[in-house]
Amino acid sequence: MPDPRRSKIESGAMTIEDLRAIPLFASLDETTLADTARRVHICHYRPGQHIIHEDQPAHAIFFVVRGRVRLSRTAPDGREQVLAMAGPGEYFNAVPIFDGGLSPATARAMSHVTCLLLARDDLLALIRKHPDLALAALSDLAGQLRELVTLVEDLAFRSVRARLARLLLAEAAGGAAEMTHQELAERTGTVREIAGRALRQMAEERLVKLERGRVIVLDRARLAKVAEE
Amino acid sequence: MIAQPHASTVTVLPEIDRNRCNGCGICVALCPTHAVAVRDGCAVIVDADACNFCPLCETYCPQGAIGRPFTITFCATEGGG
Ligand code: SF4
Ligand code: SF4
Repeated sequence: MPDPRRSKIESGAMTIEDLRAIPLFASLDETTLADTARRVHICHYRPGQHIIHEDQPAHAIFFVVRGRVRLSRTAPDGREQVLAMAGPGEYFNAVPIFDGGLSPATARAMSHVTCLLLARDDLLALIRKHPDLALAALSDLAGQLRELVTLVEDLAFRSVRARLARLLLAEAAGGAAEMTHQELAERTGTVREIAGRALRQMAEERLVKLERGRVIVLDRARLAKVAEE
Repeated sequence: MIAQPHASTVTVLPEIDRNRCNGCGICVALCPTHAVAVRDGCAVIVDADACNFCPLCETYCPQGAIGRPFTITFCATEGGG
């Protein structure tokens, strides 16, 4: 019997149009896209399911087709720090593909997720034939590095309250993604109790309003000021 | 009682991360409304109507496996409070 915790993997059902929707592949010609479509595997994950474990050997790059994937690092005491979220069109696990090392982050599905998996050798062969792909990948990686620098700056120099304010503004702007207090704490680099306390204090200051299942940003301008504290 | 129109008519319930939950049963012991139970080694909401969304299960779950989900939105009449 198949393990229900494992992802469902299909292969060969990808169309050229599906691949073209991924920005990294957008510039490839029909023949290359058709060839790539034959090499990718489609994987489905349930919410909460692990896609990759940090410090494990990595053999493939993952492109998100549907859903949200959380990339994180876990401390020895079990606390998790979220490094980034990846949504449709974005990819993750590129670093070990290029440096041959282990996966630097754990990837977990935050919703029902569909990913395309492309084996390391297939991606490297594709890049050798199409150097433009390497430039596109470099530009993406540079963007990811900038985000990480912002995160390091936030963690090193800003308070939990400021990080929480920034997160609330970003999530509210990005559409209603579902979150829990655990998730909120991991995204702001702290523990649940402290994130919860910071959120309740914001509610007392009428920066936000807390309802069952909803956090409503009441004062965007004041919250933006808090984010810079 | 006057019926208040509400944006969300669907009752939001605690979510359980099956990958984290180890079935320890602390949430079951603490839940004041008996809304949660452990089945097949994992916590499940068994009485959705009973859950009053108190913070107990979420606060005391040692695995961070059960949580009350929320969405983050801007207020429609922002600035007015
Ligand atoms: S307290 Fe947490 S780990 Fe224990 S049964 Fe409940 S949800 Fe699962
Ligand atoms: S939120 Fe409160 S009432 Fe609902 S399941 Fe958890 S402990 Fe029980």
